[in-house]
Amino acid sequence: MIWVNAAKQYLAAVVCKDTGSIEHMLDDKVELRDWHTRVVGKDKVLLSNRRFADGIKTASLKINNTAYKDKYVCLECELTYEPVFELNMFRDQKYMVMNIVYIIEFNEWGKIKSIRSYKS
Amino acid sequence: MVKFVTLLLLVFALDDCRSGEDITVEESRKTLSYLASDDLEGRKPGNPGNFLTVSFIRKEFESYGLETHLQKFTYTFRWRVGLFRWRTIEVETMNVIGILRGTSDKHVVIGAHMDHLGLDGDGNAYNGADDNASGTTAVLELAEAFGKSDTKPKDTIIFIAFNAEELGLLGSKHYVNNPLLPLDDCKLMINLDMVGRLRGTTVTAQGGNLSRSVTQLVDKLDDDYPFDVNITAAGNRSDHAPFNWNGVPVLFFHTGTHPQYHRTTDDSDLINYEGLVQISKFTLDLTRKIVQ
Repeated sequence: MIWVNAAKQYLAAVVCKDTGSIEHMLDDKVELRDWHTRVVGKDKVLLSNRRFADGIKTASLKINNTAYKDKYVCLECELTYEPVFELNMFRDQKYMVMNIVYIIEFNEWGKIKSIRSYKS
Repeated sequence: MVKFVTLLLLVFALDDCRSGEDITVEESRKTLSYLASDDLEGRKPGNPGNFLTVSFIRKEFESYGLETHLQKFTYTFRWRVGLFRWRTIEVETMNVIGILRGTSDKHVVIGAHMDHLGLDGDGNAYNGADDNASGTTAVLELAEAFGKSDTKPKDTIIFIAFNAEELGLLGSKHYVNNPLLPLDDCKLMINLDMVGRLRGTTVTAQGGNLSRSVTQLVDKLDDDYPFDVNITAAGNRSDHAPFNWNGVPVLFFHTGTHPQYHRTTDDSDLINYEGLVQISKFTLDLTRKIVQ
């Protein structure tokens, strides 16, 4: 259960753009894989998080479901975000909603070893 | 007068057709192909693919207008990692439940297990197209047909995608110990497990605690289908068993085992979709008669 809370803390830090906290949570060889990105290494994952942060004005995350197997945590989330002006110029609505499933794996020292995410 | 009677007969005929057109080969193929795809990595409880399956089924139930519940449970397993050392792992997983409320206190349960065996040592997925993406597809198609119907049933219908069946009926045992409605009010539990390989003209249905009226109904209904339903005694090898042990009337449909059973070759291209749809429609008709 502690890993579920740790995974929630990570996602909370992502939506709050709290890069300092994220850095402490990641293993040096962390792997991030989503529908268009695959990067390995803490620096590259942090860079990817920064790009995400740069693309949004505000974001909130609602976690609809969780499950775990040892140090694997699965989270089904609804991400509501307000894109920056450049990305939002052709859209009518202010906020956008995306359903995402995150699979986060921790190592034995409690650091995040891998992050996989899927649009659902 | 003749024209009026002809028109009336035509209306009845169209109405009869509508009961079957809710479930189609195309829809069933689409749903089953996703459930049995490599993306879901064999749907083993605790693994990402199983969680994605849960997510998919929950959303489907919600889109049909059902009241949806995730019934979580945990289990542990351990293995030896040294002469005197064991490693224990705890897994949290869940049944997905969709409820279509009726007006009476009685209910019917329609269930199928959604989990399978995961990946083999070489990373090949046990896709479990027949075992049991087929039964799960049937439950989803039935849920959609009932959920989107304008006529709501008198009795409540509970649709359940059970988890961790392959690990010892864990999901159905958990449900029976924690039912959402009293088991005493359950008129029938229908279990669909491995219903994708219809061959010949017989479908086996294991039955337990059944009343004569249900067996007679099954006998009568199968006259309209290209198969006979042969009711035998209920065994203990699928999710109907915990219900049967608790005195609930059960009916377990399956189309028999095959060489791909519990192998990585149990794939969606070997499914008899026409047969799957016929069994789904039979279950739809049977349930309609019981809950009306």
